[in-house]
Amino acid sequence: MSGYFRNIGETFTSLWDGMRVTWGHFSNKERLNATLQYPHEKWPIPERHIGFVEKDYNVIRSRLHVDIDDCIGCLQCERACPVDCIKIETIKVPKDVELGSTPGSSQTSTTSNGTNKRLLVGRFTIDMAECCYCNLCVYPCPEECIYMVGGPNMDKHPIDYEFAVRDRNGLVYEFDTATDEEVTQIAQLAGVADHRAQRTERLEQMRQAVLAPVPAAEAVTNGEEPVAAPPVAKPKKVITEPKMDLAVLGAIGDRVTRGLAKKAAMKAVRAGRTSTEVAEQVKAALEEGGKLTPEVADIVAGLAKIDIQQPGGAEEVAVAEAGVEEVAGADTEAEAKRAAPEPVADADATPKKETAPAASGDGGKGKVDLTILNGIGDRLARGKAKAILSKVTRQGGTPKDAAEQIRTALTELGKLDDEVEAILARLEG
Amino acid sequence: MTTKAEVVKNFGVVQTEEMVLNMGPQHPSTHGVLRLKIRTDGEIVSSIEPHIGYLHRCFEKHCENLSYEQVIPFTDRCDYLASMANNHIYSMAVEKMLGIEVSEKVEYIRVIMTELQRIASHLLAVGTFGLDVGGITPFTYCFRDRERVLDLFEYTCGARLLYNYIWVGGLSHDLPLNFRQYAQEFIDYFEPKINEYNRILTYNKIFIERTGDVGVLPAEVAISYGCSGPVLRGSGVKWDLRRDEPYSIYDRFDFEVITGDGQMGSLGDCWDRYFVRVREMGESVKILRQALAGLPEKGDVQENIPKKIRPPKGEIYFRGESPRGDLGFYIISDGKAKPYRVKMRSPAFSNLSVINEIGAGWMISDIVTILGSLDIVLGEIDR
Repeated sequence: MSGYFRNIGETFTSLWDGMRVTWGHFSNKERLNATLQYPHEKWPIPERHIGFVEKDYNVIRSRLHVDIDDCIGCLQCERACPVDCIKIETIKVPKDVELGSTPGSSQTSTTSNGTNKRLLVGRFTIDMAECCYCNLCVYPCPEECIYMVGGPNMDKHPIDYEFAVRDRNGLVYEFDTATDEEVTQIAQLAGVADHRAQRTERLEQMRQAVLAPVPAAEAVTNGEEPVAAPPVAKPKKVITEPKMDLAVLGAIGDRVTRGLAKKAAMKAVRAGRTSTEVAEQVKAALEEGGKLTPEVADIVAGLAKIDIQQPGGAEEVAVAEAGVEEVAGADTEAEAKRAAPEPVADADATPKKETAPAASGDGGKGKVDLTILNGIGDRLARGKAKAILSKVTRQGGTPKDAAEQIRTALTELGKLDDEVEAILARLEG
Repeated sequence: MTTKAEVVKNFGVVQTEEMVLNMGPQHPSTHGVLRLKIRTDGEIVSSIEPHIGYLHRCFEKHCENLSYEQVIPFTDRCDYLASMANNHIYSMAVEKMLGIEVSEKVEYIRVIMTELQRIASHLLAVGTFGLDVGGITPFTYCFRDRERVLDLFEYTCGARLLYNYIWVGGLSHDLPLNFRQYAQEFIDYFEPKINEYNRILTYNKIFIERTGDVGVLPAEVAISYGCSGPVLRGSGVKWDLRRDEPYSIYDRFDFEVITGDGQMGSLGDCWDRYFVRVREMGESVKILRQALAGLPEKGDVQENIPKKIRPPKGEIYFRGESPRGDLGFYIISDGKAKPYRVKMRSPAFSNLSVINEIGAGWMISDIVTILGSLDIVLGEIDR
C-alpha cells in the first residue's frame, strides 16, 4: 500500500519538475526560440572566407559553378567525382589553330591565369540532382574554375542554395559555351568525330526505334521505315560511317566465333577497307583466335561479295525530307498495319519469298525473312516457329528443313492446323 | 509490465491463436526502413524477426570501383548520424595501411569533431527515444541543441550532415577562425542542459515505468551477440575502445567509461541503455574541454595528405568507437588505386540482432521501447 502512494507521489513530483522546465522555456520563449520562420527569415550564412588562412578554400556546400572561360578541359574534376555527375567532352585543337580566333567565336584562347587552352570544351554539364556535395571536384582543379558558389567565392558568384526546380532536368546545368558551328569546325580541323553530331544522331535513332511500328522494324530496307519517321528528323550535319551488312556472319553457329568475326569485321569497315580486305582481316582474326574451321571460312568468304554502303549525305537528306511530308499518310498506314497484321504479313511475304531462296542459293546461309511466320495467329506457335527458323538458318539449313522441324514441334504442341500448314508451305516454296 | 506469466496467473491458460504482425517498413518507431516480423500471442510478442535490406545501397561493392579518397563521402552515408566518426575510422584504417602519421593538430581536430558528433548523435537517440515512449517535448529540446552542433559543423566544413571532412592523412581544411571560442561557448551552454533532459525525461516517473526493467539484456547475452557501445555498456560491461584500445590520441584524455547500474530496475534494461547515452554526453564534454585546451594553434592540416593513395598489398582491420559502438573497417588492398574489398563492421547491425532475445515475451508497445533503446541507424545496418 505504501508503494502505491509512493508511486503516485513520485509521479506528481517528477511531472511537476518536468512542467517547471517547460514553463521556464515558455516564459523565455523570445530568447530560447529555436524555430525559424523559414521563407520569411533565413539563417545567416557564415562568412567563411574571413577566417581561413588559405582564403581560397571552398567550404560551403551549395551549388557547383564553373567559370567555363577558365576551364582547360583537363577532366580532373570529372575523375575526382565519386558519383559521375560531371560530364565533359573535349576536342583537341590542332597546333596551328588558336582557340577563339575565328570571327564570332565566344571562346578565349587563354585562362585568366594565362594558361593556353589547347582543348575545346564541347560539353560541360553538371547534374546537381546526382551531386553528393562532397566537394572533391573542387580541390584538383588547376585553374580554380570549378567551385561551390557563395562563401569565399561570393565575389565570383553569389550564393545559390535554394535552386529547387519543378522538373528534374532543370537541375542539369550546362556550362559549355561553344556553339555547334565551333564544335563542327574544330572537329573537322582536328580530324575527329563531332561528338555533338554523334549525340544528335544517337538520340534520333533512339527516337525512331521507339516510334517505329513493331512489324516494320525488321523491314528496314523496303523504304517504309523513313516514312514512319517523325517530323523532327534533322538531317543537318549527320556524319554517317560506312556500313556493311554483317548479317552473313550470323550464320556462324559458335557464339564466341561469331562475336570475334563481327568485331573484326566492324573494325575493318570502320577503317574504310574494301569488302575483300574486310573478309581477309576477319579470317586473320579468327585464325589468331584458333576458331577458323572450313565451315566458318566459307561463311567469311561470303563477306567479300557484299557491298559497303558509303555514307551518302544528299540522298539521305532527300529521303528524310520526303518522309516529313508524307508523315500524315504514313500514320494512317501504320494504323492499318496494326489493325490487320495478317494481310500485311502476306504483302510483306510476297517480295521476301523471292529473296529467301536466293539467299539459300548462297549456301543457304543468308538472312531468312522471319516475318513470313507472322501470319500464325497463336502466339506460342509463332514464337516457337520463329525460334526454330532462325536456329536452322544460322546452322545453314534450308527453309525446307526448318519447315519440317517446325511441323514436328508444332504437332507436339498440338498447334498445327490448316492455316499454319499453308504458311509453312509458303515458307518451303 | 505484464508478462505472459502474469497473464497466466491472472486469467489462467487461455488458448489463443498466433498472429504475424508486420511492424514497418514504414513505421515511425522503426527509425528508418526496418521491418519487424512479430509473432504475437494476443498482445504478447512471442518472437521477433527483423527484416533488413530496405536501405541497401551496395556500399561495400561500390567501394571496389572507387579510389580510396572517393570512398569517404560514401562512409558518410552509412551511419548518417555519425558521419564524422565514420570518416575518422575509415581514414585511420587507410592511414595505417599506408603508414602515415598525422600531425598533432589534425589528431586534436579529429577528436573534437568526433566527440561533437557523439553529442549530436546521442542527442538524437535520446530525443527520439523520448518520442518512442510518448514524450514529445524532450525531442524538441534535444533537436534544438543538436542544431547548435550542426551549426558548428556547418561553420567548419560547409555541410551539416554529410561532411567528407576527415581525409586520409589530414583534413579537407583547417578550422575556421574563432572555432575554439564557438565550441567553448557551445560546451558551456550545453553542459547544464544535460540536467534539464534529466529533469524532463530521465527521472520522469512515467518514463521510468515504461523503460525500467523492460527488455533486460544480460551482460553474457550482450557479449555473445557482439553488442557494443552504449548497448553493451548499459549491461554493465566496461568496454570502450577509446579506453581499451586507445587509437588517435584518446589515451591523453581523462574520461570515465559509463556503464549502467540497474538504478531503475535490473541491470541492462532500456532505462540503463538510455541513461548511458545521457551520461556519455557529459563525458564527451569533458574530452572536448581537454581537447580544446590542448589544440595546437599552428600547423598545416594537409601536409601529410598523399598525392596518390596506393596502399601496399595486404589487408587491415581497424576499429574504433563510434557513437553506436564498435565500428570496424576491413580493407584488402591489391596494390592498386582502388580497394580490392572493403568490409564494414557496423555496430548497429549486431545491436539489432539481439532484439529477438530481449524482445520476446514483452508487449507490442514495449517492442517500440526496446527498439528505441538499441538506437539503430538503418543506413549503417543495410549499408
